[in-house]
Amino acid sequence: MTHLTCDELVDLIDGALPAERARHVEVCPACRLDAARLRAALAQALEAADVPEPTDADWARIAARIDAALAVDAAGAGWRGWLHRPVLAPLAAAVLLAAGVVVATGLGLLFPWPGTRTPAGSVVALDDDEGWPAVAAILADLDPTDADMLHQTGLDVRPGLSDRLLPELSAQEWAELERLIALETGGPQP
Amino acid sequence: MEGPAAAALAAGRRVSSRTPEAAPAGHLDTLDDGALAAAAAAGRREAFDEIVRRHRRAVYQICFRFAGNAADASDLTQDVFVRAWRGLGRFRGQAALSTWLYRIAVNVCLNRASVRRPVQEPLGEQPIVDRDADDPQDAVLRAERRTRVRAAIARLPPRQRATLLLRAYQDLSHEEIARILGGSVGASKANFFHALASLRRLLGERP
Repeated sequence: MTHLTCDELVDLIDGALPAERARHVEVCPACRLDAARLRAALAQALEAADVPEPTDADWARIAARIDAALAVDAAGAGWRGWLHRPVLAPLAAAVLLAAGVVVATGLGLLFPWPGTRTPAGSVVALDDDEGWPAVAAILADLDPTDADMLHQTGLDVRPGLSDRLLPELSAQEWAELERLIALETGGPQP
Repeated sequence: MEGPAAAALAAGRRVSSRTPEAAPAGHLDTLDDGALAAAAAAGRREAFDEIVRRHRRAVYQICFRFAGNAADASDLTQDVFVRAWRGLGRFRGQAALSTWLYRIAVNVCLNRASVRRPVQEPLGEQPIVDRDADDPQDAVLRAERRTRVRAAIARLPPRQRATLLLRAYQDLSHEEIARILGGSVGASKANFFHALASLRRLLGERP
């Protein structure tokens, strides 16, 4: 009889494995040990299940901040409002694609940095502290519903994409990414 | 008839006989999620406020488990609902509203986590100690164990962490998790398996 697969072990500890397969652990010490280890790890995870309950005052504060954010939206959405317009989702896809290209090819080769031969004014230099929040705000604005539309354009944007892209970017690359975004969107220069 | 209410009806979900547009503000709590979403998508803020009231606790719990502290969890919760408001027009009702909100929450948390500098140390807050416990020393030990477990979970790869949190704490099925994370049921089970295996390794304990 074959050992239980990962899926079957998960089903086993969930109590969802068919009885015929579940009986395998009675005769297989290796699978029994694997199942015991999984159960032990799950039990440990459940020790950290508690979440402190916010007070009524905390909920009121959160609600007030949601109100304030929606009021800002209603007032015109600011310079990032373009990202929320569905028709411009493909442009957001282009921006993500550009980010991928930037990382994959190495910006140093495509876009020489200040001190080499970058035309003055074409790249707005941002130090790391300024660049992070700016690009973070842009990427954070690509919400899951935007991701659905991006998928329809042929790009698969999933949670964790930015995990792979963002940590690779230097301060100069952040600045270049912002410049590309501005070019793609016709939006304000960073 | 188009929009979320129609989609909910087509999906066979219960929708109140009272139309969302006609429901007075005082009766919004009698509407189901699909009807509330339709009303909110039509611009009724009080309907959206009811959605927030219904789902804020679950959303906050997800955010807390990703962030590890109350301040960031509050920020993330706010962000989730602001995005939900902006995206309501595109909510088609194929999935439950809660699933849709969880999906936004997971994406917001993963994006925020990737933008911030990686956390190297165990989560910043003091251990939560149950001061009413019979044995104070035991309570402190349990609190320290919780902190260790949370720190270990925070070190898991994002999709494994998300799967573990949604399955173990939110008690969602692998089918629901697959819809939220945009993968297959098999991938969800594999992520759960590897999350538990990694957790065991990180905690360095043997059965």
